[in-house]
Amino acid sequence: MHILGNVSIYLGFLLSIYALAVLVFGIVKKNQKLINSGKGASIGVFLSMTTATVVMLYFLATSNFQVKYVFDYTSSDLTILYKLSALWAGNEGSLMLWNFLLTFYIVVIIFSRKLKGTPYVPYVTAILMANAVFFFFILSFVSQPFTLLDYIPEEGYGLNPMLQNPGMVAHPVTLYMGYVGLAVPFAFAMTALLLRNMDDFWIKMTRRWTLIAWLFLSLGNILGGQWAYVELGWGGYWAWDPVENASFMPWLTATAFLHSVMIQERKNMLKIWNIALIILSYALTLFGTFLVRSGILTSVHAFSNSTLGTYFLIYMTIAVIGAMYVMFSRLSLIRRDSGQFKSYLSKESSFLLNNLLLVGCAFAVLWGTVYPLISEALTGTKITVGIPYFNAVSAPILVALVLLMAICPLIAWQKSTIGKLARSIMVPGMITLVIVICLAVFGGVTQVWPLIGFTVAFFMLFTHIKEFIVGTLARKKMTEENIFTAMYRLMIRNRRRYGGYLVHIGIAFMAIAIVGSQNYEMEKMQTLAPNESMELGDYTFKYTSLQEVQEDLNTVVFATLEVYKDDQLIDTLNPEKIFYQTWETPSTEVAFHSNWKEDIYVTLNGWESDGSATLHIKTIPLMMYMWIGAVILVIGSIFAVWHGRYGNVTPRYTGVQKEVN
Amino acid sequence: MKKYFLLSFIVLMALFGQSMLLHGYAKEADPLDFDPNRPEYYTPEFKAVAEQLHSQDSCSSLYACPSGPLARTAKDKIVELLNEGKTTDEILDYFVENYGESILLKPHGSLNTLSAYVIPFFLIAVVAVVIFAAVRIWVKKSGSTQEKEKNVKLSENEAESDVIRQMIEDERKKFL
Repeated sequence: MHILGNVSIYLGFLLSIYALAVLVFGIVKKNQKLINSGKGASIGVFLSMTTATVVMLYFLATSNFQVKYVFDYTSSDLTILYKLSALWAGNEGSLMLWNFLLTFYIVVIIFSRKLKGTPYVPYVTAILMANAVFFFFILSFVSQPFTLLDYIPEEGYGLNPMLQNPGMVAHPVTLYMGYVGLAVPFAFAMTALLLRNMDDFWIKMTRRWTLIAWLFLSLGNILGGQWAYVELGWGGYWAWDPVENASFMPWLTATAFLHSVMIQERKNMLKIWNIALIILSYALTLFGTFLVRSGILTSVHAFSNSTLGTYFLIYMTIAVIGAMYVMFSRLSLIRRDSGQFKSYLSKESSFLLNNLLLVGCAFAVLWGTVYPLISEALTGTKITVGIPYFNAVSAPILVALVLLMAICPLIAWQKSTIGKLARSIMVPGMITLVIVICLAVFGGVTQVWPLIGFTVAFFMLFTHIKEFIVGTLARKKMTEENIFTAMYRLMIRNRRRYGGYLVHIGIAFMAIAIVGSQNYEMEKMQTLAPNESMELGDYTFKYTSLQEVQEDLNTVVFATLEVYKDDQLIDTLNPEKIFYQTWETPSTEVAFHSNWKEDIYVTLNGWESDGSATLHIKTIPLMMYMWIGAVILVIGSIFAVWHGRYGNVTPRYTGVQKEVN
Repeated sequence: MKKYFLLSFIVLMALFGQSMLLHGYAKEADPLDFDPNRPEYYTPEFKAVAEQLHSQDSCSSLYACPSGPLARTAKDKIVELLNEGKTTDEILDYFVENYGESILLKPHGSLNTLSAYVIPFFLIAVVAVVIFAAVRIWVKKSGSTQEKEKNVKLSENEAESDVIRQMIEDERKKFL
């Protein structure tokens, strides 16, 4: 069976080289037969990669420990879900997943109805195929996934317990879909430049694919944060780890593109900037992969013993230089801006500021991430700036960004005035003021920065709610529909705008959660004898017992903790420590109680022979809103990207007609 | 007036960023309560040192990271040095000497470190000025060429205007 896996990889490598060659020749020679052959080979590439992936999944599912990868990352006691998810637990498997997704996107583009008959397909396919060739090369000669051991081990090394979490099943897949997805808009941008055609079709297709990649990147980051929160036991969701930063940076630049592309649509301006953002986003995904695989920076996410950094560095350099060359060779085409700014205060200007802050934040994160390398190169001393740097530098930029997000929807295109803007922000501003005063007076929020954070987040929330209300009432007035129908039709007829507003609302919720959780967390660690109690905030925690149970091969030690509020039992929590037979380090399983106000977060730190247990208890305010916001953000993104009967019509391709498509 | 609004917005943002930096936006770790097993880990002297050091895990600082053998080794070293009568600075110097400046959460305020904090804001401010200048040129150009198209003002609110435009478009499609 492993021969089938290896043959599929090698076949995929040869087919991808063939597909790339015939597509390029077909484009140069304007030969449709060659293009069709390239498309057929591309489908073959996808089938080869799918076969290799299925073979690996089969090995993982059947615990074939002779396959080194299966031995390294699984054990027979794992559930089938975690056996399969080990595909992305290691270096080789994750590269397989990456390449599988890439070849899948290629097939989607070949069969896309919107692209049918346009000259984009061979170009986009060829550019993406060049990526696939690189990954097949790595899988064929550098990181071979189907390496066999000389003997058949009875048991595997096992999967890191921290990865045995539903979040880890979905987080890498979605993140990779986002990463790989950003290669598609990059391919579209390069194609548009090569075809010397940057019409509405290009914008529509690039924007749509960027939005899809952005959605998955957002989902990947959110799921990663959620996993860290429930699994790592330190009560945080974002640690500014180099690899987390590497996924945050392309998210920021892709967000900037999704906004600045609107200026190109409306005003035919910023074409160079938009192309640069696409290239930058794609380069940052490669940079992130380089960080994970090179081991140049210390990160909890890095793959151990990976020597792929050099390959990725070379690949990234070629891709970026190639893209820059194409961009500069077409500079005269993309410099032809026809639009104009009519006012300093307009939606266009606010989008420019938005881009400044987003790209500025991406730069600040990049700067902090690579600062150890820069400082070592310049001074010989490696200086890691750490979390204080990222909080101090990124937080004000992000607060300013949220403030801009609050104001931006209220500013008109073309021209606005301060008077109009003041009238627009009056009601949401007043509501925000009332809430913030209440928070200060009744909620004890008296520190300056949390107050600023809450003010900005609530203000953004209410300006967006106002936009929904105003639009709905205007439609209701015109059509005499009932209020729900009016709102529904308002939204589905402008999915992009209201999808975007939903995303903003989601971010407002998340911002509220971040401000609350970062500033008002309380914690206490105490060793309690059985039936002894401790207090934290409004709660009393009574530790009743410590027990040990056997679950399959694992030994689980758990404490039972009764949570009381106002002398009423509200929950019984069981924080656990799990000892694995196949893994050296025990894992900590957090126990939660969530309500609208805060999360109670309990970890079992240790115990003594007399039955006493050391418990670490935290109350983390407003955390529920983080996940509510995340769900709203995802719904908004899907709403914006989803096809509807209205508004999402892709313009016909109007560029130069090539002889091949 | 409007351009001054935009300029003051940019300046405000830059000042806002810097002032946040100066005031230290990063929250200090909350104090942990007494743990009878390790009372030495919760003294004010210990906290003063441990809050300034990186943890090997994903915690905000060594002080906030109670578990893990690596953290424990570092914590025991701090306790040992405190017992020897070393001051906070001396202990931090010991860690820098042995592990490099990267062990510090907030590296010493050398010019090198300060540049790490200042450069992003400086660049944002420079680009903001460039953007302002570009917008100024575009607005001037727009004013000199005069507006040829008439922007029909349907409503003061953009959301309302869009709804009205949408309705007009729907009606147009229905009858034309």
